[in-house]
Amino acid sequence: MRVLYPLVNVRYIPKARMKKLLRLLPYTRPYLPQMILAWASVFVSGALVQFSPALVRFALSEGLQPVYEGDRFIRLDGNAQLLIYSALAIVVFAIGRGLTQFGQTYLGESIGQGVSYDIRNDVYDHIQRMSYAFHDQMETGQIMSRTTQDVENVRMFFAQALFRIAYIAVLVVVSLIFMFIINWQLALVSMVTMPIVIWRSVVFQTRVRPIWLAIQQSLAEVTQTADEALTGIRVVKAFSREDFESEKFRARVQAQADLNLQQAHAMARNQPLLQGLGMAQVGLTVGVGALLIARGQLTAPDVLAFALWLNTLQLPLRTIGQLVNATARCVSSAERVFELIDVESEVKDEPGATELADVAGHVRFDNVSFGYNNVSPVLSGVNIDARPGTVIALLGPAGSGKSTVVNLIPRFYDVTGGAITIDGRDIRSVTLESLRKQIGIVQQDVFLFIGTIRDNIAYGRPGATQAEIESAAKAARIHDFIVSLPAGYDEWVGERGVTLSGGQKQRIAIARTLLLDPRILIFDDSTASVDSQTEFLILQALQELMKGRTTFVIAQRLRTVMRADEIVVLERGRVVQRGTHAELLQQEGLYRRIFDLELKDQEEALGRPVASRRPDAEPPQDRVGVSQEAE
Amino acid sequence: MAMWGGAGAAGWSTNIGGGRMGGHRGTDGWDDEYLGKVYDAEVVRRLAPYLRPYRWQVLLAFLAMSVQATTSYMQPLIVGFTVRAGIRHDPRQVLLLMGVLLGMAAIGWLALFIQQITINTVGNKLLVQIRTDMYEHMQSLSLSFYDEMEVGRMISRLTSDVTVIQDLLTSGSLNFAADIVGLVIVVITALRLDWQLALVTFAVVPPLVAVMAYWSTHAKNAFVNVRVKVSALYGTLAENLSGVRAVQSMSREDENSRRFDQLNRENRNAAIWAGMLSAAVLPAVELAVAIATTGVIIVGGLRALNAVNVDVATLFGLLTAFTLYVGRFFDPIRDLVLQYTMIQRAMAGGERVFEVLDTPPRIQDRPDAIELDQVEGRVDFDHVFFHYVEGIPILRDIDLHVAPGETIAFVGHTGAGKTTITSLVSRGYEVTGGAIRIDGHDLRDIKRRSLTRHMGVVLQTPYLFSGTIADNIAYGRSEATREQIETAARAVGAHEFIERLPLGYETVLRAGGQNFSIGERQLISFARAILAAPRILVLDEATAYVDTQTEAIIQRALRELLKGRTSFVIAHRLSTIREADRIVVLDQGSIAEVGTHDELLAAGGVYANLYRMTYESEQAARETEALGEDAAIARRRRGEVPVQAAGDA
Repeated sequence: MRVLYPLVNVRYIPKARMKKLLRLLPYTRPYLPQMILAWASVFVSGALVQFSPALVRFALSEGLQPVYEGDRFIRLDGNAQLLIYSALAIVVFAIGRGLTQFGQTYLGESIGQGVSYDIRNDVYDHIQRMSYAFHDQMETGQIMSRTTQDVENVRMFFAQALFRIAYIAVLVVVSLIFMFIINWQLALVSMVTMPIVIWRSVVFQTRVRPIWLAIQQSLAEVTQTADEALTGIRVVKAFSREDFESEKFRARVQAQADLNLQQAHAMARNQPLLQGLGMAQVGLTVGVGALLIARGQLTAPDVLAFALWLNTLQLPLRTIGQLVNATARCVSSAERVFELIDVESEVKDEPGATELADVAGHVRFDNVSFGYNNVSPVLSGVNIDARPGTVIALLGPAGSGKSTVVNLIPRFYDVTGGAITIDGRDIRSVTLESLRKQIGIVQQDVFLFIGTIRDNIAYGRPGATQAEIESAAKAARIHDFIVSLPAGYDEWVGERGVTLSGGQKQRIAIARTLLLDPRILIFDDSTASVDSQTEFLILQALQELMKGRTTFVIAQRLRTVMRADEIVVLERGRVVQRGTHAELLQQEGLYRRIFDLELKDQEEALGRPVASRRPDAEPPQDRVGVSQEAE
Repeated sequence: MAMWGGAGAAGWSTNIGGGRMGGHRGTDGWDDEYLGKVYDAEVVRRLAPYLRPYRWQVLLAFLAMSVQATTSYMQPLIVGFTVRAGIRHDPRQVLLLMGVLLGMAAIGWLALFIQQITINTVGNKLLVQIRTDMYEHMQSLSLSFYDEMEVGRMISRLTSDVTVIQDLLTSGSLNFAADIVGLVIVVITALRLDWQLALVTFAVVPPLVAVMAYWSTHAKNAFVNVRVKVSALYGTLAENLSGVRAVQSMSREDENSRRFDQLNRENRNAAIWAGMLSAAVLPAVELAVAIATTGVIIVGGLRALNAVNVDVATLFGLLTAFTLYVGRFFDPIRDLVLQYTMIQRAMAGGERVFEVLDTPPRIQDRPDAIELDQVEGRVDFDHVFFHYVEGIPILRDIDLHVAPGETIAFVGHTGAGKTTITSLVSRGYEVTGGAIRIDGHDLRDIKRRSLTRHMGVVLQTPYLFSGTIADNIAYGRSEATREQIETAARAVGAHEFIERLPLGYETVLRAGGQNFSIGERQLISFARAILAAPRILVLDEATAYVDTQTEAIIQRALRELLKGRTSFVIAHRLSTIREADRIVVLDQGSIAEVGTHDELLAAGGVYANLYRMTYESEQAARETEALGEDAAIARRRRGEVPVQAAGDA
């Protein structure tokens, strides 16, 4: 797979950039009619806007014609009708331009929204099907920023930059044509500040952008500092470090304020200047125009029209910098987004993959090896034969490859050597969906989604009935707890909902897996983190879950694995020991070492062994030694 | 102003993100969208003190603003004069007026420059001031406050709410004032130039304002809706990315795609609707300008045509000035309407900021609280009662007297009150009945800081700060030398793994130490606790998440750590509990039993029961598997002789 890390600081090659921009084209295709209308609106509205000053000029100069005798004004030769009609035309034009301006903004927005909607869906669909290997490498934050901020940048380009730039161009061209027709000398005078304004506006944007980014970064630091200390307030208070934390926070806030000020200075150097230049341009044009009037080469309505044109141009010219910048941002953002879409998952359905159905649950690892790279294999030469309904326990120190073994079964990763078969069929020859439907996983880190408890239990089977959900919850020994909550199954978990303990979460995960009714079960044990009573409940739930299913258990503590049909001890990706508990205890080795360590712990705890309280205690028939009567 | 109140946090819900899997969870919350009054006297009164130190700068900014507004809004008048001078064939006056126009441009530039620099300097000082005040106040609040409040909400108070206030106090109020000044100038000038034309122009204002006001309420809702949709969309995205493994393992991709598409579509439609509303503003204002322009031209033109005596220069000068004014007249009106919402938002933000500042710390030092210099470590619980909510007691009549250096283990089911007791000792909460005394002093008579200085806490989940390992170990004693840090690390058995790191003690912890295993993090937090050399130590399930190997290391460290200190230990591992001098068994908030392991086991009460629950199953398993023999061998190897337990009931 392609490594995505370098992208963060990549320097883009201009040629490739254009190509990326072109790749956006297909996304605009569904919005072709809107595109055409938007472009039409751009030209029509731009022209109509700049016709208004011309109409004002026409109304005044045709409606009120001063009659001169030599230099002396005699009387006003008026045409009331012309005056009224042309003045009313201003309103008519305004309505037309209002409609087209509205159309332009609205269409731009809907195209932008449409394109970003499609892109987001594409990215989401793609990303959630990517293999674990991809998600191991990509940070969630990275994907988030590409799916949110970068897609937003693309949207802004369509919603604003693309049409605005064209619109401003139309404004400038149309007004210049009018100006040159009326008086080319004054038109030239009116253009004096234009290049400066455009230039300053672009330069300003390129200067202020890095500051703006630094401010965002700084704000993130402010947030992070506060988050860290407020989340850890117990520790802060326990060590009496409130003053220290306050000082740290103040320093961060001050740093952000300094950057804010830096940005403000950059703006203060620019914006007032541009505004002043705009005013100066009007002053210059009007002054020169008035001189031309004095010479009889121009009329007052001409000068007024010039002033109106200059006024309409002022603001748009100043925004050019922003628009240019938005375009550049769109290009690099599009690139980052496509990079994400282009990454192919190395785990996907093979051509001709078939459905995996009616599974008995015979899982075989045939000389399986796996590695992220060739240098250090994570697993090598692993053989496991799990007959239907048996329990395989995986044991070994951290980093020995236990989790990798179970992650290979649902093809979260693909083996790099050997093969895994289920009922004799290579798992790569069946569809991913049908394969994963057969497998239930209870992960160590139970991830609950924001929603009700019911939603979470039914997560893998959204159509499950209340009765089914409840019976799964009962089997998982969590039903009693759920009904004790004020809202029962409708209680929310996650951010704003009820806080669950690790054991409760795990039992919900067990219920959720039970509801899936998988043939093959993977259980990543984390019962180390719960109190004895909870552990008891979990073991009971687990026992329910394992009934009649081929089960792989990753265990932290021996008591979970002692009754497994086979215990596979892993060390550095290799199987170093295998057998039943009794067999393994007879051998010197890792298993014995772990056993002694835990036994010692227990011995210390017990001080002296407790004889079974129930002499009649039946040897439990189940594979995990749990007393059924405990509850 | 709403207070936070005990049970809930009515005024505190924020625009939550969060993908919602099915339906909405009631209609509470969303108070970020709650808009305040336009003028909230209370908020303004409270903000005033913050501005006082900067009154001269603020005055300067307002002066500069007035100058700038004047130059800007007087321009059409001067343009009119210039045109008049041109028609009068007076090039000298034209040049003079052109000079005035250029001069005004320069003055306007300078004034705006001064205004922006001044107000931004003040604004950023306010930002630092308000945020720091809030932050210090937040830290002073008791733990029960933190139990109720999500950190995310506090942070949004610190960031976005303060920012809107800063905007209001600085650029917001200035722009507002500038609009008012501009409006006044335009109205007065227009009326003085020609009251008839002025009235024609003003006639357009009421319908425009009505339309804009109507529009702005709709737009406000539309934009709020967009914010809600966006955060729902992004929340779902973030959640599904974090949970992608769970999603894939349950083959939920199609269902999730469908839901994501739904949210994505809702977001798009909401945004398009809002976009449509905002696209309508400009055309509306421009239509108003066009109507007013037309009115001025027709009325002014016809009047001139019908007049007996016309001064053509004045006429065209006037028409020029007026036409330009019409364009200017509507800008401040539009701004004011738009700012209405912004000011409302700032007032609401202000309310929330003061809510934070007004929350009284539930635990405050008495004015006559004493400084605790030396602590021997005697802790007395005198008939202590505690509840969070009236009527739901958490602890009942706890009477326990702990001698200096004694180790007390608390045992009990989840919810028995174990953690609460230890939190009371460090005064994270205040007792609601009875008293806790340290060396005979009631906790409430001691300055809190001087109390916590003598206490060390190791929590179930190790909480570390970003920074180096050395920083973290020295967290409670920043003046500690490297030797002291290493000694502390050695004492708890953390030195070994730290030394193996390429950067050793200078290794940086990322994201709260996520680059270390939980066991390693716990070792660091043990070192941190021991370096602080507390007289009283609280271990709250400190080894719960740690694997067997690490636990063995910690067990050794524990003996070192507990030596000579008064210690309160909560643990589920009996090996830890057994070593305690006394075991206190809590049951539903009361002390059920007190005694040593052996005593309690012999008594056959709650403890014996709990104990059996934990170990019996293994015991049974062991025996049925002929494990008893193996265990016996193992025990014999260590020279221990198995004895029958006395705890049979």
